[in-house]
Amino acid sequence: MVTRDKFGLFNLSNSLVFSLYALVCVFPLYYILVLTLSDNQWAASGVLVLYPKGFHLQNYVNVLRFEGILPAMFVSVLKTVVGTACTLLGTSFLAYLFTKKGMFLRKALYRFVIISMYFNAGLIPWYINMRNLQLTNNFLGYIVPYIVMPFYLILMKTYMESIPPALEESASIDGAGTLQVFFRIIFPLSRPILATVAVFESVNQWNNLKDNLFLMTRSRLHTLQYILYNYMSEVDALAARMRSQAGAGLGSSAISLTPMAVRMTVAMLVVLPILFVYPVLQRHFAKGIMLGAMKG
Amino acid sequence: MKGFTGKLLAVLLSLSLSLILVACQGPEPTSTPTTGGVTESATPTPEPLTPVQITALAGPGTMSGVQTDPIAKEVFEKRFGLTIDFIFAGDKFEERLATEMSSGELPDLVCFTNRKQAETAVQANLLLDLDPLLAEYGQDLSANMPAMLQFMRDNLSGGSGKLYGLTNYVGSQTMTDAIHLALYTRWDLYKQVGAPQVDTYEELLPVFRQMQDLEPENDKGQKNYTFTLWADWDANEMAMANWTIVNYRGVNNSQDNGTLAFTEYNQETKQLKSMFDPDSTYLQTIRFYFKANQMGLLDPDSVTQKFDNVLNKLNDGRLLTAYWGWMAATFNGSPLVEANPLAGMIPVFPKKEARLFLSPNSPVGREFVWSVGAKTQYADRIVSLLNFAATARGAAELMNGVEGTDWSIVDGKAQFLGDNLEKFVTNDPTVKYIGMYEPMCLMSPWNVDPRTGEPINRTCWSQVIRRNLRESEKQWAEANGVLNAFDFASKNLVTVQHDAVSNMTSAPPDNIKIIQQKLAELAKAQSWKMIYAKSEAEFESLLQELLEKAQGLGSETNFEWAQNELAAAKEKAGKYVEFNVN
Amino acid sequence: MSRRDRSGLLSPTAGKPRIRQDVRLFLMALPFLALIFVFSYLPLYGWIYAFFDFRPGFRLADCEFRGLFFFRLMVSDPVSRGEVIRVLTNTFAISGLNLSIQVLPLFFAVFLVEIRSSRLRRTVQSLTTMPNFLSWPLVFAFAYSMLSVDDGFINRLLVQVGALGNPVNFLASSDHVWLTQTGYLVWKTLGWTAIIYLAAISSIDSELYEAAEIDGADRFRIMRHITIPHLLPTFFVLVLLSIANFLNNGMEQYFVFQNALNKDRIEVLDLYVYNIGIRSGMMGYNYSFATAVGVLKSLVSVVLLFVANWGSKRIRGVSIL
Repeated sequence: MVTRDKFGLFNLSNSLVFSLYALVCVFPLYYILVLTLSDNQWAASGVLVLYPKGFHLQNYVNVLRFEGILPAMFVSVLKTVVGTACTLLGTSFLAYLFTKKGMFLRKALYRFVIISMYFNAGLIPWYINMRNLQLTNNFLGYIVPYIVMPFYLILMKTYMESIPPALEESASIDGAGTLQVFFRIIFPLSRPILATVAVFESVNQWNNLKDNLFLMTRSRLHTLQYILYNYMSEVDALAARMRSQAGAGLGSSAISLTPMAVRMTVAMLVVLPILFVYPVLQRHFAKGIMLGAMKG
Repeated sequence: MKGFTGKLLAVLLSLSLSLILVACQGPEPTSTPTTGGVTESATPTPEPLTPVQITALAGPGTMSGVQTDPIAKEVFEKRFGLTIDFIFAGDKFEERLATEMSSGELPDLVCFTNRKQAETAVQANLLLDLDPLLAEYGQDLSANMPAMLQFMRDNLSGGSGKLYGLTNYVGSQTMTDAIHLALYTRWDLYKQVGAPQVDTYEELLPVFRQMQDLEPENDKGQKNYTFTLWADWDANEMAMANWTIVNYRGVNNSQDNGTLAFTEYNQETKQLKSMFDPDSTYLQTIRFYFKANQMGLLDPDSVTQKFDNVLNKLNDGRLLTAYWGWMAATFNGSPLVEANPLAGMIPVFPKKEARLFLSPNSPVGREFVWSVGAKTQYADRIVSLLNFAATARGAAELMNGVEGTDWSIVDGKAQFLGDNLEKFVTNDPTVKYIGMYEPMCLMSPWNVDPRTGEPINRTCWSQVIRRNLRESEKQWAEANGVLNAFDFASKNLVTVQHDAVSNMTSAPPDNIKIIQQKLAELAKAQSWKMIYAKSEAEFESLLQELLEKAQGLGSETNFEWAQNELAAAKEKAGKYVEFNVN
Repeated sequence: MSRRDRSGLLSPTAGKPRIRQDVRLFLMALPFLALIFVFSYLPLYGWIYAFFDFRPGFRLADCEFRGLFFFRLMVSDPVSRGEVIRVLTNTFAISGLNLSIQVLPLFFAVFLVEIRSSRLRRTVQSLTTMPNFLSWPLVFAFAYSMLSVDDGFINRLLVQVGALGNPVNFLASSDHVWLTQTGYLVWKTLGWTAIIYLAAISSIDSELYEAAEIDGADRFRIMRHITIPHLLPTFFVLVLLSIANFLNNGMEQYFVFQNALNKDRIEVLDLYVYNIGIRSGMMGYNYSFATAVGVLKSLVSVVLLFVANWGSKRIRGVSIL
């Protein structure tokens, strides 16, 4: 039965459909990558290019030369690693506590946490609050607000509830305390969902620009996203200047904009690091799949 | 679990470690020593000042962090003892400003992007009164821009009569000979169809049809169009209608400063008209593009493309017209025209409709307002710097780079030194600081520099203009028996002078602003639909819908307010005229 | 016995007073709950600005009290009321479609694990998450280069093979906007959201599968009776959350795809509020207006959340909250 349809129609068509969809998914990224590696006139002309024409790495070299980009990359990596680790620990521990039926006011407190997801105080109170907490111009401002994330908490709690309670009970009988049970049993057993949340949160941390823009003005706290945003604004500012000249009826000089290719290079630069880290994390939520797939 | 997190951390940490190593080899992040308390004897004197660091928040511009470019080093630091740390907010400036303001304090130096912001900051007591400092540190400000100072005292002080801000781009009503507002087209094609002289813009459409038939595709086989439009500049109305035919015809709209929105001011007749008047120049222009589309002259991607796409099309030779001087110059500077100089663009002026529309700067400046935070310790140095920005020399350096190293005056004319001219023309990143501080120019760079007799702005230097001049323009001028486009326009067209009255109007009150915001959404969408209407009948019914809905949203209330505001501004205008260039 | 002990906080076991289990759990959770309070609830004092003519930098006492003015602003005249109805129709349609596609990631995961070759499975899994890393403006830039009238690859292809007589301006068309936008959203999020289900699948006890096989169950029965039931709790949680988000479509996607010709259909509530207010800045009425809309949306979300939870309790007998 296991071998019967190994090369059967179902597996073949299933694999085919998924492969086609995967192509549709990856094509835009590939297309953009090719344009960043091609002679810049191709990116500008709108002609379809399927492989690098006039291969060069100059676009990447140019972007990597931006002032302060390397320290900013370091800050970005650091905040992504530390931030994600804190989110994983904090949120999963709280999620575990919420799976314990015996908790005082459990239901009310759980709702208290979940509902907060739908509340948005607005920009100014948020800023004043962060300022009062002295989290402006402070690396902790990138980390502390994200220790408990309600959305992940729900996912984790749902997952933990599916872990057979027998495992936990046996440990409790052995005299392990709540913390010990959590770290020795629940945390390792939750590996797939932890990896999932790690993927989600690290992407969030990596992409987050708002914190840097509003809370951190010191250059040693600047992130990669910020440097790239600043650079893109320079490109836009040139267009804005022309726009204002058009309105004022002034200006006579020619302009040449930074080519489309540079915009795309910036976009690739943001994506590439994630692509490298991703397979490491993928192993952990994809590992168990083997079990499910072998049967069938 | 150990294996999992361990491996994860190992990978990430090794990644960050390698980055540290790379980072250490890279350029050190600049840190400038901050020394406080040097407040006495801070006038720009030859003896060097110990630089102090100040924080600035500027809406326009892309300055970010502590500035280390030549202008910052040579001018701000050496001459004024200021190291400026800019808070960068990009297109989130107003949000950033709001957060700073709500914390009860503003940075040492602020540049607001409109008067409404400055007004709010004045009312919240966040700004410093500059009047007491003018006598000692702002003599040039007082001498050059008395009208602007008085205007700000009267209109932007919350009624207190104090001086809380300085506008930029202050200028005189004298004109320069830079022609900018004209429809440009390809000289080679225009010549081939006989270079016909026409009376109205609409009469140009059949001419363009012939030209487009002569060259329907570019050398890459991509389709050419006479007109292409784009929507990403739209603010209140359709920007591309206002800034093309409406302006060519000498009608001034307020899209740019946004105070008298949805009105148009005819600089010739001095009449204000509602944009929702079926006879308005704006709606006539919409009809013009509708007809162009019916004749297949309009790029069908206009409504979805961005300005980026347009620039690419321009450089690929896919457009037969350009809307402004700089846009034509961009095309004329492209490799395409270099190879075929007669393909360069030249202006076309339908004699009955086109105007020589001169819009010099107003003695009360433009929308941006420079102010000093109430709690700054270095007001003296900051005012000295702003005072410098209010002189011709100051504007020249902020606009064009450091005098003596980037450019200098040779034989009475300003010139770039070394290879700066080529670098500037090609937007080389190593000279990106040239022009970066343009918003700081309190003295408008469009003023004529008394030392050279040419505008301060580098783009108008004879050296730069010579560099960009193409064979097509020479031939066209010769054929018409004139020296250049400006000469042609001043001999053949009615000259209309922008009277700058609309610069005196104040920001709309909130109830009007709300109406304007809703009208804007309606006007933009409906204008594009009208242009792409399938038939005359559809166009008419869309027009009716626009007029009815606008009325329902309060267009009449808005127009009434605008009329009153303009009347008040006209009365003010006579008061604020004094201005000198030095 | 002390009075405190009688209150039940302490119980005298093992000689030493120990804190009762339920309170101990509570105390452990307390620091984390405090974080939620400090970062999510404390700033909510700012909601009061919805009732005042708020100006940044002013003390609240100096701001004029306007009551419900800002809540009424969106429906202050008949034309605007018509607009709000149009915008809500779009919001409901797009949210409804988004709700109906919630089931796709589940099936995506279920079928993905059926791929035999583990290398192909992993590759497909990685590649299908890629669209999530593209920002919406970039998605639009790509869509433009594929679909624009003259240069769009797809347009030219369709004309060349004769499927179209003339190129069509897909991006400016107001036909099927709700469907195409949902399509973009599926494309961008499907592989990404499926990760959650993949994680859940990997926790299924393999003994269950073995037992099913011995019983002679085929692939589809195993899916129906083991895999899918195991994924349902996660599925219902996600559905519940997206019901609560019914009014919150976000605006970035619709912002980049909007243009004058498709705006009537694409303008969802978030985008509309941005277009008529927030876009033009934070000064004047806009801040209070934005706050008022935020307050309303939060309240609607919470109400929807509890209604959906109540429904779940009634129908499935399981309360999610």
